[in-house]
Amino acid sequence: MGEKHQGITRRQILAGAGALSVGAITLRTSRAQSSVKWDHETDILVVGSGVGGASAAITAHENGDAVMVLEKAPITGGTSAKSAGVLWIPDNFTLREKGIEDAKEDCLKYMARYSYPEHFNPADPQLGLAGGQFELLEAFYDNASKAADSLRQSGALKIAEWRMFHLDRSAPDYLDQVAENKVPAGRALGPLKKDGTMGGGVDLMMQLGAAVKQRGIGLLTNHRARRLILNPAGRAVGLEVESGGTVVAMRARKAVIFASGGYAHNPEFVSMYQANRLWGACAMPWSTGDFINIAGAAGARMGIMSSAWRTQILLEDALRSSKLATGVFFPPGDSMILVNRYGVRVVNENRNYNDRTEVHGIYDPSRAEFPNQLLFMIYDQRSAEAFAGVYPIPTDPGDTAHVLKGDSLQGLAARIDQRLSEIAPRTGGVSLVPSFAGHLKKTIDRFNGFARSGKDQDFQRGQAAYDSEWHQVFSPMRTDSGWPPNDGPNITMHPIRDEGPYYAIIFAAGALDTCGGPAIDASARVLDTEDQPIPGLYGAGNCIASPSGEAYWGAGHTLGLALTFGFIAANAAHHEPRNNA
Amino acid sequence: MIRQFSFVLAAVISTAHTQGASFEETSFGIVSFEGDVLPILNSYCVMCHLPGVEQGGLSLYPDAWSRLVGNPSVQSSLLRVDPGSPDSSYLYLKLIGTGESVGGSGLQMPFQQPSLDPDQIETIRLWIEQGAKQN
Repeated sequence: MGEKHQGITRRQILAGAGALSVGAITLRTSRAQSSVKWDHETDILVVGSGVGGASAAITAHENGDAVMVLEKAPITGGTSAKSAGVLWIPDNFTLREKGIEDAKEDCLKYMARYSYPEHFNPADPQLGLAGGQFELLEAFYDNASKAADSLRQSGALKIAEWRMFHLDRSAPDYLDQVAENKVPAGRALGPLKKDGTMGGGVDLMMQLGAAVKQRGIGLLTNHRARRLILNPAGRAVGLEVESGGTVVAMRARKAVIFASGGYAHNPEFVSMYQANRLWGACAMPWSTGDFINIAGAAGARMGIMSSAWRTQILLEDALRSSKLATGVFFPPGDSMILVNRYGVRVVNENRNYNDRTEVHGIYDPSRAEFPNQLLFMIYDQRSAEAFAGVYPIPTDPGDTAHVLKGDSLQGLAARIDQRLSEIAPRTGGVSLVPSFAGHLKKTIDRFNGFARSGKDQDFQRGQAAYDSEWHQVFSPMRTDSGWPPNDGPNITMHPIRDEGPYYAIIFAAGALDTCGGPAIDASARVLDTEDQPIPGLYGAGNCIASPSGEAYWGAGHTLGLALTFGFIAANAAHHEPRNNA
Repeated sequence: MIRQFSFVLAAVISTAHTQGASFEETSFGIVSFEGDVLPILNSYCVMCHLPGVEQGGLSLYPDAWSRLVGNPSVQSSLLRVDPGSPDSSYLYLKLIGTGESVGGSGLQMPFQQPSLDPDQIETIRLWIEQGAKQN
């Protein structure tokens, strides 16, 4: 697998490249010398085969440009293939078909309000945002539906409205409840499988991968972009590419487009750029932020570096490996709460994964600590059995690898503290306060009152459509558990039992991937330190500074951005003059 | 400046694709590992079972067959693939969602993706039943 290419074997390519690399391997800087000997040339080089790279490659091909896709991994599809395959596309064709107007002015207000609440000013022509920030939002709105439509019309994508599985409803956005969101549901699209049912990330990337192949677009796995080659005028004219220890020089007559993923699996970058501890990520292991140094060497300025698409993760998983299969996108259960080491609730447990995870990073200056560094999902026998098998609640509600059990709240506290003591050297010594069990009892009593009244006076759990509708999707109650359905006034909350046993699962802050890196403009051109585009260099997806800041507008947000800016990049690159390498 | 043989290379790799590792549609018919089973594993499974990301202690790259066939699973007492016996093969049980019934753990695979289509699961079941050959 990964060794054999259509028509030739990878070995044959490298055998050829080994001879060809003699001239190219002498390159030591990103500045091209007149002696550069190109081993391959094309119009546009695309780095990365996830949704951003695929969108760019297919769009470039549709524009008539010759394209080559380089993938560092032995498999294609990137982290997109591990995703749910959803695309957040405003003003999309399914909304239009239903006669729903997703007006630009309103949508921009929603995006600006969510991305930059500290700057948002609806009375300002740019909504209070800095020029570059506003232009990126505008570019996204202006191009998202065009990108989706273009890929549909070219036959590359078969997509439909992404509806909420058995609920068969439009998906609420992740901040559906604010006044600025005039179309709070229906912006999510998803890939259709052959039988017409909704597929996932694998299906999305299978479609795009097939489209790349059908168009005869070159795609090489196990090929790592090492550095940009610039001509004397500072234009990106190619790449040094390494595969199997051999280095070749690939020329891009028009442009190089990076869509190479974030830096979630580069521990040094994570330590430098993330403001708070990131315990692990679901990104593919090749998400090591290569573009940061590659673009930096070419004079790029960095945009926001600290952002990530966040999710809570199981601490026990992260202690085994920071490379994770998945995160806790939605804590299941209704008789369930999240508390910190003080036994206190700190967040609406049903908020979306990106926003909910932010609470781990809150710093307490009085105590000089991060009180929420670890959170504890506490639940009773009802949730253990009625939601058994809904990740991360195991089918067997026992004291398994990641579940701690106690017959009473005191017993549970002792069990948690025992485990925290065992792993203290790896957690900064997080422990429960001695009064944890007492605080937890008070927290539960207060929560139970909220569950009975239906009103969470502390965190408004279940108040937004997101909370209750995604609860039904991500937290389906078993019908065979013997526990009665939640007939209370708020389906997301049920009183926690007065008697044990009780259970706890330890949560930490994680990510799907990071989304910090070089800054781009509205044409997806990478900017230099003077805020001028580096000619011939483009970026899309998680490898560049997030065009949405820290916000996650709705289901499919990450892929929607990547698809759109890959499309923008390819279209802008099409108009680049053919360079003099 | 392009050397003459670069054009040869360019002509070849302009249509080059990885096979097996890419997201291609699976084919059906004769049950073979290379032709039928491996494309399913490569499309739906390998991204969480790679060197350095061995969920369940399993890496499906670069040699999926030898990691599966006759090898014990780490989550149960079963072999990952027991040639001739799908019902005692942990791989098959994880795909149909009954891994925990045999002492395994975790959830149905693929994880947090739609389950495999019935014909894909049947392909894997038949492959195991026919002896899980490296064909």
